[in-house]
Amino acid sequence: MVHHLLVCEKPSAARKIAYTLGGSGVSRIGRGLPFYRFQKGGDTVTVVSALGHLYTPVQQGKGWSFPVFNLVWEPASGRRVKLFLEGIARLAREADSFISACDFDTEGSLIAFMILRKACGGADAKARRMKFSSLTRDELSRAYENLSELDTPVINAGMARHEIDWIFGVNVSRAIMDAYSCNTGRFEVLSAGRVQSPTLDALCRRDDEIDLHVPDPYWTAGAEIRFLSSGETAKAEYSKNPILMKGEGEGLRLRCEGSPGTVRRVEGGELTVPAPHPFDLGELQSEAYRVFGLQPWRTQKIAEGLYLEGLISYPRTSSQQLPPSIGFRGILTKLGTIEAYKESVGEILNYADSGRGLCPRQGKKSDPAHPAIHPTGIKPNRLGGEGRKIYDLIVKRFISTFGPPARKSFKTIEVELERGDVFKIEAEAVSDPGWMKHYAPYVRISGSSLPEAEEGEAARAEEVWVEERYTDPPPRFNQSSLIKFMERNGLGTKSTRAEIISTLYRRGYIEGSSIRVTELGRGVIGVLRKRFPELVSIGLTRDLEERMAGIEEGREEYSAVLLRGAEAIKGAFEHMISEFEAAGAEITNLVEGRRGQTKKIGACPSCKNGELIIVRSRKTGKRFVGCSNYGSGCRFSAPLPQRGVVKATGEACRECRYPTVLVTWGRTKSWRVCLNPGCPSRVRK
Amino acid sequence: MRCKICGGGGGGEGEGVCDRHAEAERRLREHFKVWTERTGLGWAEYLEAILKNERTGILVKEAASYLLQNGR
Repeated sequence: MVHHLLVCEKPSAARKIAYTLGGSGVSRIGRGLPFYRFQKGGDTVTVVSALGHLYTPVQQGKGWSFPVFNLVWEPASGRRVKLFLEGIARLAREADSFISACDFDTEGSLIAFMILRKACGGADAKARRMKFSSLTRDELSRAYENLSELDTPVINAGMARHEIDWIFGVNVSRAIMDAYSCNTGRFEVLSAGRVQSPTLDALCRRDDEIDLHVPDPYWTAGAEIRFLSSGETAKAEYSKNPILMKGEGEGLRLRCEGSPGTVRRVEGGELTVPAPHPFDLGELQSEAYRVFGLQPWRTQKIAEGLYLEGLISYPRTSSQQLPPSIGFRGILTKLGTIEAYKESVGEILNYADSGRGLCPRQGKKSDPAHPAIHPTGIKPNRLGGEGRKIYDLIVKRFISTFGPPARKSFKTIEVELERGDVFKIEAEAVSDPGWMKHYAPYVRISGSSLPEAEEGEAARAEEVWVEERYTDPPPRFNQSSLIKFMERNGLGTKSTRAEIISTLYRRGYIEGSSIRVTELGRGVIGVLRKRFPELVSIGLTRDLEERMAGIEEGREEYSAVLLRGAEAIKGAFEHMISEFEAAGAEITNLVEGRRGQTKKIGACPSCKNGELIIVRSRKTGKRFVGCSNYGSGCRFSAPLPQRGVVKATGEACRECRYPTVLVTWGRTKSWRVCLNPGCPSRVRK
Repeated sequence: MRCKICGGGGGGEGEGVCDRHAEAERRLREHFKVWTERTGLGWAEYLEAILKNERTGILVKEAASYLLQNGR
């Protein structure tokens, strides 16, 4: 009889795996560190869980210095981590077989490896791996019966990622914090990171483009065209839009209004719109943002919850492809038992049985570890609001991938007026919804009506208009477009992107759903651009990402990649140390100078000699107004709206004479706020 | 030297504005050529139009306002 110890990534995964593999014979034991035990095939199986990463890289030896390149892996801090590690070590002594059952990706492989090596006394040497993409009975049983070797290249890639992130992030953060505190005598959290900093730099550049945008004027012309035989009218665009001279537009209007003309060309046809491919994580995040307005990190969290309940496959995947091995018909048949999908599933299966077969539309991206996100077919019991929305989106997308293509009819009509000016009518409408029917309401099935006209037919421009327009600045990033930008530029991985954006918000470097870089964020980037240009370079980060992927694929050596990372940044440290005082003054100037521009509100009405400033709480990350004499006992504070840009007006409130601020939200909304919480002007509202 | 527009650091020796406002002014002058050609506006009218336009970047607005007030 063998005693197997299964190491899982999270307590909820351990519970699910234990009950799925062990059925009703599972005993839950222990309180602080719950574990599960059952008999299987004459063997004893103990399922235990980690709490995500229980080990983390730290510097060798003590002290606060930089740069540090010698790292060791030690237990993470915290009482629960200690409790879990002691419990796992105790259980490891009773076991004689070890199995990694963490999520099948880089982080999961590394979590289990560190626990097996360090808490289980070097058990990684004999441990084996369960590989699965969903927590269903079939897949877990298959993974348990077909154990493989530990995925060493993936583990090495994970270690390299964590160590390089430490070398970049911790060292650079320490360098700038040290230089700042030596110069000012104050401590301030100023952080940098291998992915965080190039992302923040890109956001700053976008902000600059918006703040420096000069709109150029241009004009567009349109007309209402009446077809004389049918009497139908349609809106048309001038064929030479845009018009670049002011007078030209007016001339066109005078020339064309009321002018007779002839239909010069009628062209029509049909477009095929193929079914969508299934979701990878990035696409799910961006679609959930588009249709529900859900932030990417939230979508990821909800999807992970659905996976842990066994309802969907592993969501941290880059794949947009579904292999037949997942059992298309089986999943669809199970989904067909859910009332909301019954009709769609019936139609898809009929379509497949009519000779087309069950062939999902495959996307371009693939992932060797996991298929695209798909439902498992397990019927959800109780799903909350957001969970239900994401589940519905995933199911409908999955069903749609098997659907027939949709068809759109389009028509272009060109009308030439008496003086040779040409106006064009373009219209399209869905003629056969195909897959769109199964993806509704997440896709719009509509279109404009197609006017009837024939070549040579007489027409007239009833009304002609010319509109003045201006060139637009580039749009601000939102969380969804930022994730896409990071993906395109090789910044971070599918699992880390949403978390990195959350960190930028938490640090107070960015704000708003339409993302704007704060003065603090801009100050930090100013320092990094000057002192550590390598760190804000997308090129270096992308190169390191490619090399880490190379470790995973066996093309690169772990130590060579680490060395490349350290070499890339070593020179910048040497340079900074040689100019430490100057660097400190510069950082102080940039950070405080930037802050000073916007954070001073006015004189404190409470202590009379302090200055009111905008402060961000270190604990909650929220901003409020406090007094610069806080250290001397003044406790004045006033709440601030957490959204929008806040600027001092320099004017006192008409009612109570307290300072006021102007809050700007978006392009057009702005309002004045008095800082006196008891001000009659606020009470009236 | 402090920037004459925003009061922030990094004001250049000559014009006395920071790098970002100097860039805003450069862009304002560059786009003036486009505006004159398309609309025939003079410098002051152009600055007024730029100030009123909601698409104009905040740094450009600040630079335009400074230039208008100082008759430059």
